[in-house]
Amino acid sequence: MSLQVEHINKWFGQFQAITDLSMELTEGEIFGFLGPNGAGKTTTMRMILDILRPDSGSITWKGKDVREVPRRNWGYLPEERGLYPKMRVDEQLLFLARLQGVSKADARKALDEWLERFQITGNRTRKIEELSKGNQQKVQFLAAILHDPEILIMDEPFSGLDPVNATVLKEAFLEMHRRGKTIIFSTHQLEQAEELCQDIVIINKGHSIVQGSLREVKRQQGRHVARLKLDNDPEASWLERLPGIHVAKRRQDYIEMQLDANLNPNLIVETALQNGGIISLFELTEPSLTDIFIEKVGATSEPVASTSVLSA
Amino acid sequence: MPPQKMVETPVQEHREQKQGVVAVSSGGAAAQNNLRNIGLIVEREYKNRVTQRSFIITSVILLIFVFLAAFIPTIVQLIAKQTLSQTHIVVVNRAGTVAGLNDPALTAYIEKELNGTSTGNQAPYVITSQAASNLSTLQNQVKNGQLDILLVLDRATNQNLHFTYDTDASASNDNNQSTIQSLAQFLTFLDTADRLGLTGSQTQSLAAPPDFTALHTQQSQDTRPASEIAADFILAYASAILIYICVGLYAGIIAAGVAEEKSSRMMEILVNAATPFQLLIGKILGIGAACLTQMGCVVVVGIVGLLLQTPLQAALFGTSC
Repeated sequence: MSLQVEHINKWFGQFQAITDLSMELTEGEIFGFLGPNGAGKTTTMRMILDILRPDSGSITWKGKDVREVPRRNWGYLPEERGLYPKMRVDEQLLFLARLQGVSKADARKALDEWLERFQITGNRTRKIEELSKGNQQKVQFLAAILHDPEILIMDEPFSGLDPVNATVLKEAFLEMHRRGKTIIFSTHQLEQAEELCQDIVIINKGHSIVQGSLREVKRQQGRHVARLKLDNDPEASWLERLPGIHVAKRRQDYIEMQLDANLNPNLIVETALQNGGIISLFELTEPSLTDIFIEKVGATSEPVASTSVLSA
Repeated sequence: MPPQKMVETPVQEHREQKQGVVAVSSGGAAAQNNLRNIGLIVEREYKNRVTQRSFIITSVILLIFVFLAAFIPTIVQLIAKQTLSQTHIVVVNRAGTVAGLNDPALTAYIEKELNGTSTGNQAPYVITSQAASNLSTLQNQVKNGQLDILLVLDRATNQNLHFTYDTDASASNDNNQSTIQSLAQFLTFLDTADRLGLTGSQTQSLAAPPDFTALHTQQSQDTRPASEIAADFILAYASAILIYICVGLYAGIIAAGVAEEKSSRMMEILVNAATPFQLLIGKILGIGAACLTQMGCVVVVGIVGLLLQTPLQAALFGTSC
């Protein structure tokens, strides 16, 4: 394991932000750091970056305490914009890259390449404040990677991006992955985490709830999800009466249901045919990360009423 | 019962926001690139500051102000010249011959005493004499501000001279009374000497100043005109105030600049690349250099403005004052 977070705790006054959190990352992987707002994701990321220090526990990269790891090895994209708004894009990125020890020529070369890739060459000489939010986020991403770091830590990199820009950024992620970079990122867009990550951790209120490889996490749920569409009976009300089946969503195009682990999915098909249904879709799949997230985070949120606000 | 929805309390978010102030370190290579990083930060801060619109506008305003302030000596001298425009004195002699001088001679004597070698427009006083019959008219003219000074000479029963000094100026704003009073004193002396039958040489020896030699070990006599001294005094004070304002202003700009990154996530990016020491020194030097550039421009413009004064004064006043 390359990055090891072992039993870290962090207090802010009387408030414990992180409680005995441990996780492991392999070098070169994309790691999803998931959790609701206020779960402690940013705090953990800052501790990994040595911007904050844990009150107890340790964080190491390749066996070395993160305090001793050269700063140039880290690339960080904060959740909120961390750029000089009145500075030009190229000047800002060159400044940050050179501050990380990159020569001016190398920084310029990398900048040209990435601006071209992100299709923002035309914005090269514009001030940050003049750019759209999506383009600002691209520049923020470039600020994190231009010095070619080993580890990329990205806090909500897809926040506020339209699908086109999100795809561009996703491609950049994959490019960095191909170059062997280790990427840790937090997101609320779980479809993206599902698409990109090999390993994930879900934390809530500073505790780790679920962690491991994405496949393993899904398998651990012990359930399947089935999708069914009947052309002549879109409601399929009889589904509610079948044991071991819980209808999760009724959509225009299909009905999604969760199946108990020991339920034979053939039962659904047989019952549908017995009821004279014309099956146009039947799909058996694993639960989505969104389902797991809602189930796990919801389960840990509910008992602690004191820190929540009830609203109708 | 309506469905209840769990919503995250803002407490946790708020606490997470607060923690951003605890940036602790930036190690490794950053610390080894002290000079390089400081240089980069200085360059960025300097360039950023001098290209800011607010900085440019402030500089332009300051330069205009200083350029105009450099004209203070000339303006003061011009005002002084206008203020010290010729004072008109009308002498009405009801005392007959004074110190052996008839009316025209008396007028000429007073003019010589008050104006010295200055003649024409350069003379501070214009002296004329008028008959006693015009006295009430002249008094009205003084009252209406048409005449500056009316000096009436009478003789008392004991034959001593009596002077009546009539002016439209208030007592606190009268710069001429002491001069006229000195003149009156000397005329009285001459008249008394004349009445006592002293010869001219006797009177001269009575009036001769004492043989007095003053030796100053420090030769620092300022021979400049009072208006020029006053102008320089104002200029020195204006410069001192300007420097005081600039020092306060620049200290504020540096303080705001140092706090700039703290107000955004920029600090989190920067502490990964540079040490707090490098950031602080770079900020102070960069912003300080920008402020000194502004100050340098102010000094240059001030000097140019002052150098322009000599030809300007020559054009305005004829000679260098």
